[in-house]
Amino acid sequence: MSDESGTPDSPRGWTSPRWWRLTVKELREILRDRRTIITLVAMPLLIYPLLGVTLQKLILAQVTRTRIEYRVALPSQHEEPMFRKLFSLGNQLVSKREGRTVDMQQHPQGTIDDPIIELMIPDQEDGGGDVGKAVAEGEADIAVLFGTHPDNRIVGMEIVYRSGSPVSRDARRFIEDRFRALNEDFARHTLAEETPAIPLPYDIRVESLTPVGNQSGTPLSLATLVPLILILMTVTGAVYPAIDLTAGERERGTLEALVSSPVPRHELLFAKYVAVVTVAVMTAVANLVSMIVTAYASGLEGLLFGAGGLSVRLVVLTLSLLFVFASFFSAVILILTSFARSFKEAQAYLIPLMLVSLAPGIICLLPGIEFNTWLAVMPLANIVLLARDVFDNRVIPIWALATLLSTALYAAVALSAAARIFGTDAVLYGGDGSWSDMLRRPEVPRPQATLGQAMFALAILFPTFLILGGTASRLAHLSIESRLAINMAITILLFAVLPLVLTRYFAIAWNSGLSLRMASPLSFIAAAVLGLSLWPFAYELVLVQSPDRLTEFVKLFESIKAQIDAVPLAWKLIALALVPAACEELFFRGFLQTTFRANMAGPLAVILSSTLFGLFHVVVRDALFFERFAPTCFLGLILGIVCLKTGSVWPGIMLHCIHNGLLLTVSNYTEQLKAWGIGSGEQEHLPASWLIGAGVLAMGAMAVLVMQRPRPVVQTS
Amino acid sequence: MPCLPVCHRDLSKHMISVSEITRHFRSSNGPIVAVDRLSFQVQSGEVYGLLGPNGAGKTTTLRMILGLLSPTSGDAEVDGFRATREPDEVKRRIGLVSASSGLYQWLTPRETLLFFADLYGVAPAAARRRLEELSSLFDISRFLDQRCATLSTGQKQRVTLARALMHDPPVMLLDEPTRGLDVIGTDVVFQYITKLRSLGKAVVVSTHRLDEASHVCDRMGLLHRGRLKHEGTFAELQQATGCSNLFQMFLQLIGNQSGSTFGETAHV
Repeated sequence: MSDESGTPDSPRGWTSPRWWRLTVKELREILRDRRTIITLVAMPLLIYPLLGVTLQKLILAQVTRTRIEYRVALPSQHEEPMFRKLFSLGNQLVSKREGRTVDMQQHPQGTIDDPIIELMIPDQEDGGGDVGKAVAEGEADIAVLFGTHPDNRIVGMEIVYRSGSPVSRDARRFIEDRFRALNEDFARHTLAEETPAIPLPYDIRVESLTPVGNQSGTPLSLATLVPLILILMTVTGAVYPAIDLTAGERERGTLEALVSSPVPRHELLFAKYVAVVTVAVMTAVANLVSMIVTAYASGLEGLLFGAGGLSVRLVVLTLSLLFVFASFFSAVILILTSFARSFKEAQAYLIPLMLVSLAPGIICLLPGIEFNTWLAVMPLANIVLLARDVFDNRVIPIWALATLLSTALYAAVALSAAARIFGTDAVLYGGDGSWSDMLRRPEVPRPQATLGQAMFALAILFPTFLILGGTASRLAHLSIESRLAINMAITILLFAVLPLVLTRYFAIAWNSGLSLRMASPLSFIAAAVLGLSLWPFAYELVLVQSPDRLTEFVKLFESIKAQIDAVPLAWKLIALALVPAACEELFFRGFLQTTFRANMAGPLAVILSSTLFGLFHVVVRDALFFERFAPTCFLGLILGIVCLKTGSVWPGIMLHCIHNGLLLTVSNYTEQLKAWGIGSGEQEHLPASWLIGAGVLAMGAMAVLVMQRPRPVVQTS
Repeated sequence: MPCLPVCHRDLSKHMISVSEITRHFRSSNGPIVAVDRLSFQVQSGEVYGLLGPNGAGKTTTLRMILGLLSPTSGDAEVDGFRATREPDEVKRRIGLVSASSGLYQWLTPRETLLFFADLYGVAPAAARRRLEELSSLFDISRFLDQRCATLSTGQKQRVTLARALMHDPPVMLLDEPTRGLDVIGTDVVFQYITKLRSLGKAVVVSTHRLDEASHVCDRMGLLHRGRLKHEGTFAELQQATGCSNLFQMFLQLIGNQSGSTFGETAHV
């Protein structure tokens, strides 16, 4: 080969990374395609103005139609004069109250704003009619029945209406208002004549509350539909480029040339993924802009953007949500289109997906549907619910976090799955591949899991952790021992069984994949010293945070503290120190950090695994306690460094176990310690001497660990 | 026609070495042996023809050499790199021309060629120089900035040939390069192969067009049902089979193997 080619020349100055150059090519190709332009620009530009004009016409038609007419059925001619008289008096009272004066001489039927009341009286010669039946059959909007005393004095009134008919409901409200006004006026006069006079009226205020837990009365409004429309349009934007850049390329024959190049397939796919997400987000932006412009131009912004109206915050949040959603959905689409061998085949795969996706989206818009653990981790449904809450300005942080995290994880897993099948010989040459290839067990053992496999583990762990944790917290009727046992089982299942099963399934070597090799005795001694000396710092990190939130956090546990105190210390140490320490270390350090370490620099791997460790501890029952993040993340960092330096999870397990065990033991003997004058005040900073002493011990132990030669890591290819 | 940079290589070295390569496919009727213990070598500056009817295993063999298909057993080496172990190193050294390879409809030939140069790690300045050279060589300069969708079949073919040479690979694999081409297009491919030989490339051409193979190939391997039946120069094949041309050789080969079923001979 010539000197100029074959290997890349060393660039002078900065050049963009290859994945970006690949993405630019994909974008250039897809954005020149007129079919993309139609989806991206023409559709939003046409659809929203058309919808806006239609909606406006409908509303105008409602406003400008002839005066509203209510058909009121009376049982007989006999009630007509009484009804007319009482209605007229009531109408005057309401008009006065509303500050309107109606000249009845000039407008005997009221003004254009007043509905026309058409009385319907059955023909008495036919034996009278059933007014209730007339209402039920829609011949009358309401019926008014007067209850009379034997001396013909009216003692009550009944209004019959159809709850399913808006006009009937309005008529009922209209008539009821007038008669209630009469009653109130009468009562006021009567009370005023009493001696001593009763000072009326009282100031009555009505407050509307928005329940957080149950919103069963939320009506389905246009504002509720807007997020779903935007999400569907974003999907539309992603579909064409996803098909064209994968199945389309295969059909045109360019995919073979592409995968014949020395660029890893996952990098080729990632460029396509970025291009698809970009087009999807561009479509979302085009739709949102067109929607906003249409809403402003037609004066429908209040109707479309909820009670809070349109704001920069709403637009930014909506776009951010659409970006997260586009990232997830594009990856899912790419799995299907990467597997398809032709454009038509890809379309056949995507149509069922789109239909299936519509269901949770529409269900979530039904009145009364609120976030719960299941919905928060259900793909698409969670995004629709979160978008609805953003529009209603009532976002609940834990559900927002669960939604964003689970969606991001699902996106990573979907992308990893797509990378497994993109450009494989089965797809390229119509060989013997099938969907099972995605989950095929590797034939060659690996020293560590891949990043995709780590994401897969997290994607299983996170929703299961939320669901099982939430379910366990509702078992308050069980004894504390049983609840501890259930929690222990959940911890073992999620943090130990899961990584072990995945390690086995993905043919990962046990020792190198989970850092199970034995460490030196010195490492164990240093870890034990760290376990004894770290708690003061974790404690101080908790104290530096908001005292109110701290009190709230303490309160959460106070309800079970008395029960926990009754549990024998040995049982507590097993359930709350030994098992969590062993299982969490196996997952966060053994599985995750070891995988990260094989793919990135050591410090970054430690930071990433400890951040995840901290985040998992933020979720307590079904609430978020960010106060727990700093201390657990701090502990995670130390545990990460210990694992990195020793190349083993065992010293970390010892450290973690001693740390938890020490806190439990201190908690168990609180009274005795107080009797000895230790720990007398709550939320009180520790003496400086304690911190200095613990600091010296911890630094000494860390120095011992740092001076050890780090274990070599077998790099994942 | 300007000369391309000539590589200096040890011609005695086998640039391509295929040893006992086998590939099975699963099907509803049981396993199919697409390639069966196939072995051959190609030197730099040599054109090797893989000949056989449709379904003989020619394309599967080329894909295994390129590392796109993993062999069931055996392996192929390109410039000392094993296709199963170091597929990226192998791909870096191979230029592929396939009849089924298309072009990006919405990109121009210039963008396409520079994109592929980038894929193979050619630096931008070197890629631009290479583009100029190949544009002159294949006479594609006047439509370099037209969208590929607007090009004629012949123009597209020339762009495809240029694309395979953008990274100046020492090995060229040509899979049915004349399929669907007219006489002029076929002649362009013949000139291309001759040029590749003069540049010292190791070339493997798979074809079922026996007439063209005898014109351009230095040595040939006759494949049938995945197995190499005969190998050598045209003269050696004539001597071994007692036939005067490749067509007769094939009729004889297929007749011996399958009883001259009409369906199979019709492919030749």
